[in-house]
Amino acid sequence: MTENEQHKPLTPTELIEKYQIGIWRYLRVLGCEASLAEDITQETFLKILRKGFDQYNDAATAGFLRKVAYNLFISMQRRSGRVVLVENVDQLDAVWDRWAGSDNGDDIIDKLRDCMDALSDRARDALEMRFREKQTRIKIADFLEITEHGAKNLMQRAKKQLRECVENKIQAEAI
Amino acid sequence: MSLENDMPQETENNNDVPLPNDPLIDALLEEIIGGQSPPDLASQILSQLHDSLPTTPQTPVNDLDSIPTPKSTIVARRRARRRSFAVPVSMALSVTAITLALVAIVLNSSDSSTNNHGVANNQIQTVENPSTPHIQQSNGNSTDPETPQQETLNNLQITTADDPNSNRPIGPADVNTQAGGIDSLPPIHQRWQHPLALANTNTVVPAETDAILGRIRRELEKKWNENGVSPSEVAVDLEWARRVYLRLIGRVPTTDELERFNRTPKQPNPSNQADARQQLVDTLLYGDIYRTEFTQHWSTFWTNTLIGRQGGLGGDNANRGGLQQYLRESFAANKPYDEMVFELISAKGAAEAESEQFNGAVNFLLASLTKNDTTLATSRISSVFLGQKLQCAQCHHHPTSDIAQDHFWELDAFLSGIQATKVNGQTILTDVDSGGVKTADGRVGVFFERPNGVAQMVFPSFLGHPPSELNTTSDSSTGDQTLLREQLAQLTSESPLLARTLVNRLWSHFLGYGFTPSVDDMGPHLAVSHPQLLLILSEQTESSNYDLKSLMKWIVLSDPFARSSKYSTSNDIDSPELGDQPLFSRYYSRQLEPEEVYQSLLVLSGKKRSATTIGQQQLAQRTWLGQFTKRMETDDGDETNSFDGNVHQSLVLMNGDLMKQATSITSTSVLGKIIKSPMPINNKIDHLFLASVARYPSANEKKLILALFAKPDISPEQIFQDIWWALLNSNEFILDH
Repeated sequence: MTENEQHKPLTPTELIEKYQIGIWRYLRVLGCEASLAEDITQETFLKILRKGFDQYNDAATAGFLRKVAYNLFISMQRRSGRVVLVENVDQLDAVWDRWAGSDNGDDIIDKLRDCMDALSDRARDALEMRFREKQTRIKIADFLEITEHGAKNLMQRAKKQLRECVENKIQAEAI
Repeated sequence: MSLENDMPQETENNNDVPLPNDPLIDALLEEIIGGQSPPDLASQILSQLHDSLPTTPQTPVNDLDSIPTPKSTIVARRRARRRSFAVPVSMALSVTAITLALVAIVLNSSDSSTNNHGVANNQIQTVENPSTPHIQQSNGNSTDPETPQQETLNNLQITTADDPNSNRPIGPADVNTQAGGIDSLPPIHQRWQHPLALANTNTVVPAETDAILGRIRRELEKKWNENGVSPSEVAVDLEWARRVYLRLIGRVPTTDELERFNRTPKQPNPSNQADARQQLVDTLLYGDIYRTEFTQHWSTFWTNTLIGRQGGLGGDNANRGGLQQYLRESFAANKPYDEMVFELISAKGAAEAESEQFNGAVNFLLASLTKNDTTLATSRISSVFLGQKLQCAQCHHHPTSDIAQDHFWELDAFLSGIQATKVNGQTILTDVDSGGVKTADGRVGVFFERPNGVAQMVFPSFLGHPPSELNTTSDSSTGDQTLLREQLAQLTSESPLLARTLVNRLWSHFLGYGFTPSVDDMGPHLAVSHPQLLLILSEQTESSNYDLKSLMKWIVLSDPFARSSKYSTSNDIDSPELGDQPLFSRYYSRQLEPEEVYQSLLVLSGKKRSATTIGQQQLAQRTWLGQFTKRMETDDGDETNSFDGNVHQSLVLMNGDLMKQATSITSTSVLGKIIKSPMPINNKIDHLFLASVARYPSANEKKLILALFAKPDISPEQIFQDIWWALLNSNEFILDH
């Protein structure tokens, strides 16, 4: 008996509960606002549940759902007249597939949290102000007593370091 | 690995190449730090699957294939700004969606069989099927739900043909509008009611003008003391007179008018000065000589306020001239403001003056209807008359106050019976008893879509106050929709918010700033700079039976209106132009409105204005103004105004026909009269300054001008003309100061 034959198809409820977080996160990574990501996630499930599809295994289902969501996102961007930088989206798609291709992204979230702990206090403060308090760069700069450009640089370098940290953790696990 | 040591030191080097944004990390940080957690969408998705209909009976291939899926929900969500029964396409979608939802509800509540996922498995008919829910006209003729005609929108009722009671309208038994049913989601916000929306029973004793002026002064002094501010000096008579003419009749005063005012005895008794100023105000407000100019100025002001500068000029159903005629007649008769508001909201009749059914007041709502979409009308009624800017609540709850989406649509429901039709080339505004959706007990409601795509039905309610609290002579609960608009008119005209908004608007007109940052937005989320003063003036306005001239008189005779526009170190913190709350310790200089520039130049060119030609003059003025304003075609009816000191304005003023007329030397123009008079040159120069900027020239100015007359190669006429042109193109002329 093959693996595919052993795989039991999920009910709609199970399917949604299992994959919705991953699809939503994937769309957010592609650049969707939270509300738009929510819309497209719903639309993705409605589409595939209407048409039906063969459930071979978890990775195939997750990949198929991401592809439908991706196409809906591109289609929506096109309808709204926005220029879609396909190369950039494709790069993001590839990275996310490598980072969270086999789960909902929970593991990456955990890794990123770990990496956050290693940031300097000033870098963490800057990111906290930016993402939690939605402060402008000017206010962040005032708080840290640096220039606006310095605040921007600080945050961008912190994010670069976070990304490298996550990549290192993934590679370490692969070895 | 530790990042502590790897983190670069923040740099202030501007040449440092910025790193690109990282949407991947950004998205994850927004979740980790910003708290944007993934939503649980399972119930929503399954709910939408429940509500969907298969197009044909299906044999399940597997578990997933057995579940039908509705059409795209994203597109439907994008239509949140559309009123369900206003636009044919959205109406067709909404009616279909609602009907489908109803059928699903009925199916779910019945004993019908379900598949092993608990999903309804009934064979529900398609649109093409005879048992499809029909959109039926009131005359009983069914119509294609995919192609409804706009003319029939208000004659529609929803019925379900496969229902035993298929010919009855949908009622509460079918649609549970309180709990369960299509709007079963709990309200996101707690129900909000505007505390000042409904008429109060408090009786305020009308006060004398002097007493009101005293209260204004005391209330302002409190703020000055709190802020350590001393007001500016009192403006000199000529400075004050110029602004009174500009604010009350919309033009600069002539030399004769200024000299007449100057001749009024004022010294040494200070009370004589007050008497002289009051006398001038009374003359401008009540004198027959200024009746035409007063009515023209204020009809223009209110037309702009009600429908913008481009309303009724071909881009909508309204006739601007018709509205202006109605307003002129109302101001000539000194009609109480609340009465005008009642008429503007409840008016029925034809837009054009040529029609036997002419009622100029209909043009307010006609300018606010797009076909029969009433959202702009609702927005304008709430903002212009009630000071409640509800536009954003069309699509979502107000972000910073308790105003919910329901409040907008509940107000909009009062207009569900309105209908604009073309009859023999004339536009008629009336009401029909078939707009919106009627429940079996006769209530009329409208549908709107929440941001999550759920359709919600609401019934008329006035800023959160349900019908049971509305004490009106027109009872809409009888189900007669033709009474709904009248009910809204009564509620609006009796609401204390009407007086507050009026006071704020006129205060802003006369003094440059209102008590709130925007006169159209006095919602609970915005602080009022002088709440007690606003309350006093509002109550006195109500007790004066909304006599507009009384309110104008209080403001133009008030302390801040009489202050100089010059500020000193004692009140330089009074800077509303920087976003601070105004303290009214000085008169705020501002550019004249384009209509005021036009009328001023017209008077200086010697054109006579009479009641018989006022319609043509307003038409000419509209043509001139048309080059500065443009519709933005937004849902809110916004316009752009390029009369803001830019190059376009400068070129038109410096070289336009109007300026040529004003600077021409004719027997009727001000310049021509001055040149031809036997006065000495000194006096002529004084007259030029008085007529344009309402002051005498300084010694230095006069010295420079007299030097010009010493030049033999320039004629005196040419010198006078050049000086006159320079004065009319100066900042001092274009400013109200």
